[in-house]
Amino acid sequence: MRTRIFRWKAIVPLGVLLALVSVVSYLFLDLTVERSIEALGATIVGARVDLAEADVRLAEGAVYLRGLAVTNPDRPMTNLFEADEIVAKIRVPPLLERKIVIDTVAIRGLRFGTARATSGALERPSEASQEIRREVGSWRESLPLPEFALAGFGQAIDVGAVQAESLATMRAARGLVTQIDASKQSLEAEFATLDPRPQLDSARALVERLEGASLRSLGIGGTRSALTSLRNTLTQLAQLDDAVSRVEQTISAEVGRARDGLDRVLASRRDDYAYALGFLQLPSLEGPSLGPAIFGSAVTAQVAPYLYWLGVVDRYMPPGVRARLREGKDRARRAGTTVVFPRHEDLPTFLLEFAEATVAIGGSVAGAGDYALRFADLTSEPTLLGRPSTFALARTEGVVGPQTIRVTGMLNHVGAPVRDSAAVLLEGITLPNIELASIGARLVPGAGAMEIALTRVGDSLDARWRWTASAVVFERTEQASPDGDATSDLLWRVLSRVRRLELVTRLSGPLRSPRLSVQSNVADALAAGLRDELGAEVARAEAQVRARVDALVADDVGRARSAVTRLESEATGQVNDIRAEVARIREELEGRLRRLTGGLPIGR
Amino acid sequence: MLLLKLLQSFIKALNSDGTPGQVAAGITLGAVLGLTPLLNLHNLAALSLAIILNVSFPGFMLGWFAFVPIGFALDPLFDALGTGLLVSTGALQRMWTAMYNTPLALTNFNNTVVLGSLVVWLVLAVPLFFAARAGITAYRSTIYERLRRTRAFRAVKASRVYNVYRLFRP
Repeated sequence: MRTRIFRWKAIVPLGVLLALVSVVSYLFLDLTVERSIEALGATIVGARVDLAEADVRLAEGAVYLRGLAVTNPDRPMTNLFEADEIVAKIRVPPLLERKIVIDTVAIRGLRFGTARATSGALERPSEASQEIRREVGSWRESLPLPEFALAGFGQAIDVGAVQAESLATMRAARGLVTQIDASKQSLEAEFATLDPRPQLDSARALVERLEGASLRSLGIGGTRSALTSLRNTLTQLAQLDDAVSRVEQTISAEVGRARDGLDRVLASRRDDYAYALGFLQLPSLEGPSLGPAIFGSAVTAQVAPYLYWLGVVDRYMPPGVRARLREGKDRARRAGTTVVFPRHEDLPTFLLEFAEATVAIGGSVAGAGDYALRFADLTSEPTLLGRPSTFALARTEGVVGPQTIRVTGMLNHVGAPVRDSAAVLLEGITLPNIELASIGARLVPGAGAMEIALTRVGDSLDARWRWTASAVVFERTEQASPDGDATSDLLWRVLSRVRRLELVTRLSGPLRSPRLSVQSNVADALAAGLRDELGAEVARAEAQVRARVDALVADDVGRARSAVTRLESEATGQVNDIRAEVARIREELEGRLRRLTGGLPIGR
Repeated sequence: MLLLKLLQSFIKALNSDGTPGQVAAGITLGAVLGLTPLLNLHNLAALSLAIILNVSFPGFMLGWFAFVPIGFALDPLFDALGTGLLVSTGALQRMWTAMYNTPLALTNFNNTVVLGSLVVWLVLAVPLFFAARAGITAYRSTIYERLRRTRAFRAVKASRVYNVYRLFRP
């Protein structure tokens, strides 16, 4: 019997099955969207994203999201922002291509920095966020922040703690002596190769042989032969002279290298002074050094998130239309990599054309009021859209105080080089406290202003943060010593006079490793105060430390110095001896030549 | 119970449910569910084919379950193959780009593991079908005759669950 290909009676069960699958998918659509937003958000942000409810109404082309909480990846117990309700008007046809095109979004009840009941840290953040975090982390670790410590003041200075082995000068001096030994060996080899003795001995022998010789005593044949020998020997001596000149050049180069090495040895001593002073816990009393020492750690923590978010923007809004790789969806099987293939004439994978959020700043500070935060043209493929993304925060209603809160920004990733810029001016806001662990204090700025000006072009960043406040307070975070601590008291006397704050932090240079500079009137005041009261003690301590360093390195520096002198004198002396001998013999040979030719230029 | 069902399915598939060709076709179709990540559109298509085509449904189930561990084990290979096809082969980029910008994107073909495993299944499908058919034919003519007389075999075959599978028997 011939087997039938189709099982026609199964058509109805298949139809039922497919209908069931469709119904179940539709019933679970809200849940699927909710979970997808949470998963995708967590991948991008690098921390938990919670959504209480998603309501997808395909017929209306609308999605309602309620109770969105996005964790701040730098502070897992705090939300970056929370939104009560988000209403998105989406285009349905692009969904068939797995593209999300949102025409408008209205966000209500947006709040920033709210506390979380549970930690929003992820057990396993996405590879992308981990990589960006690692980059920012290694930048922070690589920053050369000087230490601020007053422990060395008021204590007997134990210069014995400075050990010779730790000093760069000593290492450099010993290295230089070794280098000079190698140079000597190399020069000896050059002299051995040169070996002028056979030529000089032969020339001397000719001089002796022609002692008292004349045309008459040698005869015509003998004279011709003697003249030939004389000319040949003079030529050989000229060649020897050239060879000596070459050796002289080598000597000059080696001596020059040794002198440079000696300069480096002497320069190393400055580093050793600084090192030894640091060892004795004496801070620099210059404002520009004190700024990073006091505020460095705190401001780095403040500005690092900006670098993180620039990294996120780079990752998820790259310019161009090349295929992009994304981590696959998390599942029991290997997630793999999902490849996105953008195309010029098509829609981007994600596009948010316009979003507006209402933000309320409460209280009675000057900045209190209602604001509207607007985003436009936020997309995953800016080149396809051909327009930069923009955002702005502007005041709408309920104004109290001056209108001095402005935020504008643009992310132009349409083509390379990417250009990002942001300008923020927040006046009349409560500035966050700044922990100053290095001086055991907390700076409470209270109401003040914050300005940010950020420009990024390609890989180059120039960003400036300025915090100002007029009624700052310093709080002790470490217990004062019960038996009194003169330097600590001094520090607090200086700080208690500071009422105004101006703190300027600047990042400039390559995006991945920008340079940090910190300037503050607090650091300047502290430096001036410390200089007034501790300048003499610092000078005395520095003198002792310098003397100790000088004593420790004196022998090695002396050896290095004399090695350089010896190298120069010995090698130069050897060359001079050869030169003098060549000149003497040449003179005698020319004398013989003149005698044989009677002063006439015969055969020359 | 599940284990009993699987065992019964295995025995039915190998022994009596349909011709060796039907069972082999079922195993081949089922293999795609085991080899590739489950929640994808092509697997719904494979299930629909297993229902509508006159193949052995127990064979389909057998193929599915038998290839699940193989799928997990070969994921690194699928990932590498998918990466090679989607990323490293420049000649295919235009095709992938064209496909990505159509509803075909819903199939998740642009995931390296999905594409790699699907391609492996497509390559193996024909050899797998013929190997399975030859194996079942050989089995039925030799081992089965001895096995059917054992008490354990008769007990499994007599189980009530067997009736459920009759619905899908070719």
